[in-house]
Amino acid sequence: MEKPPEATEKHVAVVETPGNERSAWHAALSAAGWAVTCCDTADAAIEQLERAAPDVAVAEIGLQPTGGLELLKLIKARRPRTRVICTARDHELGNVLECLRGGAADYLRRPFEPSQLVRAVDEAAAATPDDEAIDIDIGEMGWIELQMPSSVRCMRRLDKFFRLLYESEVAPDTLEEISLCFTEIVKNAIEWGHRFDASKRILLSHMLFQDEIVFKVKDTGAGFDIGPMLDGAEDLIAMETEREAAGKRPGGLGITLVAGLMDSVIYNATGNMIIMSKKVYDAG
Amino acid sequence: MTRAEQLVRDEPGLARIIESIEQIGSLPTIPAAAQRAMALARDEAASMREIAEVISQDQALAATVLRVVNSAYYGLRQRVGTLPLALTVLGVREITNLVLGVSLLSVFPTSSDSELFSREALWRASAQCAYAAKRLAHSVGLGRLASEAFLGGLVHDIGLIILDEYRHDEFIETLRSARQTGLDPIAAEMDRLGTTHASIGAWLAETWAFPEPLVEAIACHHCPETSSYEPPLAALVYLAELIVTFHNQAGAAEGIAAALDADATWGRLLSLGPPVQQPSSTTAMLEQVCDEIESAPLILGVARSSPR
Repeated sequence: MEKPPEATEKHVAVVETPGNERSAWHAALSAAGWAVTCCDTADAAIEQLERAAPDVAVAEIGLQPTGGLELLKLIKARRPRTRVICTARDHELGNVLECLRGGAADYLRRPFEPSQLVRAVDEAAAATPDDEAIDIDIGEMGWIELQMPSSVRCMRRLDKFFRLLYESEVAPDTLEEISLCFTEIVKNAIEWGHRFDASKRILLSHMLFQDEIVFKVKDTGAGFDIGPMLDGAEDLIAMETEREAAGKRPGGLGITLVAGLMDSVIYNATGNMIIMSKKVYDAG
Repeated sequence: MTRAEQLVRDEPGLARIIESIEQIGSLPTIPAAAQRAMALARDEAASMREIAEVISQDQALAATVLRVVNSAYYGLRQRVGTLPLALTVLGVREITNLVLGVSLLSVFPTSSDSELFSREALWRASAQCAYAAKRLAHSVGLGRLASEAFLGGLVHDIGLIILDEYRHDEFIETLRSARQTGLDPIAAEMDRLGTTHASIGAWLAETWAFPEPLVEAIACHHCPETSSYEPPLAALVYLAELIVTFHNQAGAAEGIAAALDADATWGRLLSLGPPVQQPSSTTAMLEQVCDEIESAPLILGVARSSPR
């Protein structure tokens, strides 16, 4: 039995049936400075939740009789500040989507190294409620519409979920390119559209339909003149330096990169909305 | 007793009209795409991918979606050439509205217009009303009703089309006498036909299995004070029509604001309390509504011009 965590300690609750894996996680997390509480079942975890809120909870989706997804819901309802990392012995896309919908900080496919868990727990703990405030309007396989805060951490979390959703359908190189473009464009919206104001929301839509993967990113900023960047400026570095010196939104390099990697990149006239797409099944 | 059954009981003319339509046996059925879109608008268990499939399998509908996305309204710098791109640009709400609008428009094709009635003009005003009702819902804190308000605005006058289609001569006569005597058209309909286009529209909506609040909104769009429904969908449709009428006649938001402030339904709506909230400036709100009104024919008009 662990001693109860002190108020000042970072506290993680591991909800997992006892065994070698759990012992290894416990050891790694303790070594990383975490106060670790282990619960054998979700119901035991819920009981403990009434007494204290851990900073992070790690929950296995396949737990019996109450599963990790159910626990995620209960934790988010009772202790919204507790970040939840779901682990999955049986990887199912529907569950990835459920985790995203339910506000999970992360989703880890088993088996994984204990060090990976420590990294995920550290990252989850660093997130603020702002970073997590995603409103999902549509969340189904192949069609997602959501609003996210202007937070790089939130963007990384979404990127991770998108990768999980499509790793089985999209070739690794393509997925890597799409992820690069996604983060580039969202970062642009965060930095230049919203000037890091986390309270400003970015509209994000995504679709995988027929053989095309599409992302739409819209910020509420004033937008910028994308023309010269897409029309192949001759000296991008000079243009970037010049724009930055003039206090203008740079991004020429990133956008040129995105335009090169994606099949189509379309802006609206205001310059605060971009839609980009790429064919994902052209190999066959 | 359903709403339509009540109406049939109270308005002898309605039963006669229904009977004659049923005798002809040619009442159009609601298109499958509209049915799916409606389920989506009502947030029932419909999958978005399903609606994408419906669109992709209907060439005319797919072409329409592309044409709309590439219209000036969306202000894109490059052409959108594929359906997935177009669907992503529009987003679920606009797609739903568009599919509904286009497929309902296709049910009753435009006929030769009489001097007194033009289907084209009616659809134009209905599209304007749909976008006005949607914007109005957002402006007064009833955003969750926006999709239903859009639908209500789009179909509230569908009874007029039925009259034009199945009782053309009588209908035109009614319009003529209303114009000559200066009688309110609704009163003239009741007078001559023993029913109104609102009741006929409500009956059709019920036949097409539209959701109940929508049936009620169609039935009461000329008398929202008689609607027992909370939330006040009928009031939203009534007010949207009022705004559209003023917009198309005069235009300026100040003038419409004065008309709105003098309107009892507007007063009643605002007095309902949360979530209904008074917009901080009626004129500013109306400017937004008028922007939507102006964009409406652009969206549905582009859609309408599609060859079907």
